[in-house]
Amino acid sequence: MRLSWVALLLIVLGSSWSFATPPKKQTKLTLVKLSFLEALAPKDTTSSARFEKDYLAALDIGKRLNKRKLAQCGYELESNTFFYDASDPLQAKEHAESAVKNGAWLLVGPRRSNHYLLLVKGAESTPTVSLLASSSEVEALGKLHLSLSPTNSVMAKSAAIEISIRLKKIGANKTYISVVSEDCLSCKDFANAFDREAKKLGLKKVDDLKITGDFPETSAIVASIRTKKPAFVLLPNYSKTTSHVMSAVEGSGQNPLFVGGDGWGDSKFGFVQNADHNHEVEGFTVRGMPPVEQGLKKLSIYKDLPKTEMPSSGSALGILKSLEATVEFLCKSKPKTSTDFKKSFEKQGSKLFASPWGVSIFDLNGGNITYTRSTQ
Amino acid sequence: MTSRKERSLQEFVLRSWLIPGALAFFVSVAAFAIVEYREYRSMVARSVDLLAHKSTIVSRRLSAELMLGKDGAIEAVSKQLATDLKLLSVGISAKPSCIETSKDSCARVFDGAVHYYQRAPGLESKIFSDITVNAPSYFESMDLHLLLWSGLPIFLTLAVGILIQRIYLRKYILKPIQSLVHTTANRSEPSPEWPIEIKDISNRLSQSFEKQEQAVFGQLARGVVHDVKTLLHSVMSAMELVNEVTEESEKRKSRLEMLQKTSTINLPKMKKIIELTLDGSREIPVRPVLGNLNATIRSSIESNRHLALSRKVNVVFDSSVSDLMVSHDAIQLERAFTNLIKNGIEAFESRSDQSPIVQIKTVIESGQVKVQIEDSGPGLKTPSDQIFKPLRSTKSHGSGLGLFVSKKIIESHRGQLLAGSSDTLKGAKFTVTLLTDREAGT
Repeated sequence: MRLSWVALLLIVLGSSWSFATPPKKQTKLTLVKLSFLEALAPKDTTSSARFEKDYLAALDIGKRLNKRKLAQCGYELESNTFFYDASDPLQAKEHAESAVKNGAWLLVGPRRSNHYLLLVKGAESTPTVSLLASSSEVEALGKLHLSLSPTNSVMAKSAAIEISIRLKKIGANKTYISVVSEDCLSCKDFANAFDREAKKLGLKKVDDLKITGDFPETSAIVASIRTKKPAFVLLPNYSKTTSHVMSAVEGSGQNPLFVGGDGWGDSKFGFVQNADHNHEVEGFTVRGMPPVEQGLKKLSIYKDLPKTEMPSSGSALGILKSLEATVEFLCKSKPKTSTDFKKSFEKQGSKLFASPWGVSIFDLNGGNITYTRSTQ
Repeated sequence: MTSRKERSLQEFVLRSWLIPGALAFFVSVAAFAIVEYREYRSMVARSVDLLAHKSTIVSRRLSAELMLGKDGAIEAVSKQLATDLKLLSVGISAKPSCIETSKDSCARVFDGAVHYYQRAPGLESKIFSDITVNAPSYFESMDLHLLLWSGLPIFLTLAVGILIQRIYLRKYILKPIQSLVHTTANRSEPSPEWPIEIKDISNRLSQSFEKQEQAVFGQLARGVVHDVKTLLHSVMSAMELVNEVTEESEKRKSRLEMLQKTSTINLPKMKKIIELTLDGSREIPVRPVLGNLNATIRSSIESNRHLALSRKVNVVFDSSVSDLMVSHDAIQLERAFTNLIKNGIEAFESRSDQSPIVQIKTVIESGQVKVQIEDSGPGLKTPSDQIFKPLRSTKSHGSGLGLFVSKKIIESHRGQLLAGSSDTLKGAKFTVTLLTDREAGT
């Protein structure tokens, strides 16, 4: 009898507990479509293949490490990646149009400014982020279109201040010549910004030379350096062109300082250090990112990164940063639709999708490019 | 020494090769031009195809730059693209003037360049990229070795063909033809090397000559036999009458006289027929002796006196030289002149002429003695080139050997006998040409 009472009591208690506790809710995650677009240089297939592999690996790691946090916020990511031929920038626009048509919430665009600007042409009403675009036109695109890199004006200002300090230290004259690739939009943009800042700092441009192609004619550059004897040469071009010009100047027996603008690459992926005559060249370049190891430290997922899966390129760093910013943005703004996402992006995007690294200065010494420091 | 006939055959051989050779060469050149033109068109087409791919690259790149709208970027990128893609020029064009190859592109060749226009994609306004490469040159694209190698066999074939045909012409046509007469005349066998056609011709000619000889022999034999038989028949008839038994001595005497008369007339005639027949079939030996030709002619006229009187033909002899001393065989030449004068008299046999005349005239021209025998008869009934052939008599009882033998006698004197028409008497005219002693001596 006593036992039956106990049993009844247990049944009553159990039933009341089960009714008191609501059933576990099956949370439906909101699918966020991201589209990643990047240009590959077909002429350098080895480098392109390595770049692509690193890019995809970073994307995979970033999605994996952010998955739990994202799920806790009620989201899951679906990403599409488009690699295209860098010699055909129009594909950036076409792929952007296609991605928008497929319902992408955010487009993470190419590094090069002109490619990114074309991407924006195909996705004017969709939020986009470039990994490294830094031209002044990017600044003017508005709040829907952002870059993880400092702008050219910012980097050019840092470069002008840096060279002024260095020239003062060695007591050199304050003259320079500018050698700029006509077909590089960002390079011209940087050069213009540098000229403005240099003027403010009392630096005098004694020659302005325009070049085209990866391997331009260098006799005019060499002649100009020989006759005008500038303290430094502004070379805000991509690494192949820069390396070619440096080799010619070095080969002519002259040794001015070289100042670059976010295009020389780094010690692993650049071309400058591989040229025959570049063992003695000296100078520095500015970049929108520090070396990958340094840059990763600024990311919240750094502590979770497996040591065997460390990314090795600036673009990979940018991918991780863009994914981290996306997750943070989603968790904060909680958009339910792409329209909500767009509205929130316009308001708060620039705060999260901004460079955490400032302007990094890389020294060129004895043909080697090494990270020196970052300026805010 | 090359004969005139052979040379003309060689020219024919040369032409027979040169004409088709020239035609073959021109056909070869024309075919070469057509082939090269097709190749040129193909090169242009390939050039356009290649440009189509490059044009897509350029139009997309320029379109991107136009969208970005950076000052000077189009020029810089165009320059770079021209270098990278190995183009003559790169630019943009508002409205190309050429036939469209597709909806948004077209190509044309002008100013020595192939232009390819393609609409820049993604732009609202119609802007075309314009890229050019050097157009292939028709003449520069020609492979002249092809012409050389196609022409060389023609020239070699011509040269070898002409050489071979000349050798064959000499060996298998000209030599056999030259030998044909000899072979045929001598009844010898044709050379085994001769072509079948030539051997066949030779055999046919031999057979033809044999038939002709048999025919001549038959005709001659029939004529001689007939004449001799007729004459013998007269003599035999006379002999039969003599042999008939008769008691009348007067009658017998008369019959014997008739036999004698008939024999006297007919037996010399028979002898003459036999001699004439023999003369026609052999060389007539002559023994020239210097003598008065006029006398020989007068003897001939005398021999025909009875005949002329019976036919009432006036025979006139006119000599511009009184003593025409010429080396000649008087007996043989008298035979010839007698025959010629006799023919002239007998021309009036079936014609009632008012004043029949036979005129004999001797003249000396250019060192030669000419004896012209003309008559006012009906003229020659046989063509002059056939009249001296044997057995061609137009007379009912002629042997057909008179003129033939006369000609042989005159030619034995290194003279010439020609037949023709008389301008003055409108009848026949025979001209005997003999060399004077001075001409004969030189």
